[in-house]
Amino acid sequence: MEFPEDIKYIATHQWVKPEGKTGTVGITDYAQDQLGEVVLVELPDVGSSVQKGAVFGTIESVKAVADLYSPVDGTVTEVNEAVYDEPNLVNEDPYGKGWMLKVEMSDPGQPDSLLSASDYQATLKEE
Amino acid sequence: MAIDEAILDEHIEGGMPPTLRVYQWDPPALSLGYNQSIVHDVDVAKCQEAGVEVVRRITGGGAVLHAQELTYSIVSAVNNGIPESVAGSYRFLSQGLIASYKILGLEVELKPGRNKTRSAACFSLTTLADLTHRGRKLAGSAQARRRNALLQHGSLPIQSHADILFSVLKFSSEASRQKTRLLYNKRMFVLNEVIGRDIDMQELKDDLRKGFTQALGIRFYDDGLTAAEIRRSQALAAEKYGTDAWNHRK
Repeated sequence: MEFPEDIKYIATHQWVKPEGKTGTVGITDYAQDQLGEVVLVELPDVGSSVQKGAVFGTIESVKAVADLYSPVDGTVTEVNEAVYDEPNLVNEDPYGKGWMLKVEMSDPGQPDSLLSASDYQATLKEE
Repeated sequence: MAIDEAILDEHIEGGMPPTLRVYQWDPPALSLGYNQSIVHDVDVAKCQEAGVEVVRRITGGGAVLHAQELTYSIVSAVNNGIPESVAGSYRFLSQGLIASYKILGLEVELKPGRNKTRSAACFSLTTLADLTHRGRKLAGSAQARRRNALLQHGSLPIQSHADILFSVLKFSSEASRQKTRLLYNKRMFVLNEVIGRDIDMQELKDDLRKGFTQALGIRFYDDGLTAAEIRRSQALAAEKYGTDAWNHRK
């Protein structure tokens, strides 16, 4: 299972990759593995606002629907429509082709306060 | 459905203990999976004609007819021994159901396979979450995950209600309706058919309690809804489950 070092994590299993003001958001390899085969992803519209720790969408795997939580505050500038057509991209490439949102972050420094790859992995060991 | 979500939220935010709830529906209702399309799958006029209400769940999966069946809901955080993975948590909780059926003399097992195909009728497919007896589905379940907690809904069919179910679901053609119904009859069992008698509902509820107690090593405390759960469920019924915005959202 992979946990890239260049992105930040939250304990509810989402990640954000900051690039300037923009943060790309998705779910972790651990989360996709725990959910199983993803069959549907529901994401917010471009222009809507997201808040750190608040629900921004849902993900349905075979037999379970789970809420998705935003790691940062900001405005959605792009959603990955490819995961509507091919939800299993989330399983196959959770940090790449299975990304979900691009968010213009209200505070580009906000990801600094989130979990590093090793901090996040430590939370998994506790569970 | 409003009560189950209220129990989930009170477990997450209000510190209430894990809960097993069993209930029946009056009038009968067709519950839809969170992402199921009512337009595509349900003949709403036929539902009204048959006196069947339609409500959307927050849990996944397909349509379930709540008539001649017992519905259960389980709310718990994914700790206290419940694995976090969807498959693992189904395996864990299904031990309680398996033990309950065993009390009735039935050998049931968790179907290990997966079925990717979506079908309007939940019971025409068996998936990783379903219990089977001699290869035929005897109970179906679906989950929702919120924060670190799960809500698992399940339906234990007592008597066949295929006549109503297949009259209220939409199919692409009459041939497809017949074909799906044949498959459904072949692939599923109802409890009375398997045990060869009419089960008493209280007996089934008592068996569930015993089964979960034995298999999971837990103790139940009988309790009604708390005031907070009632308040939440009333608000959810008025603002969510009683509205077209929710039930017809897809």
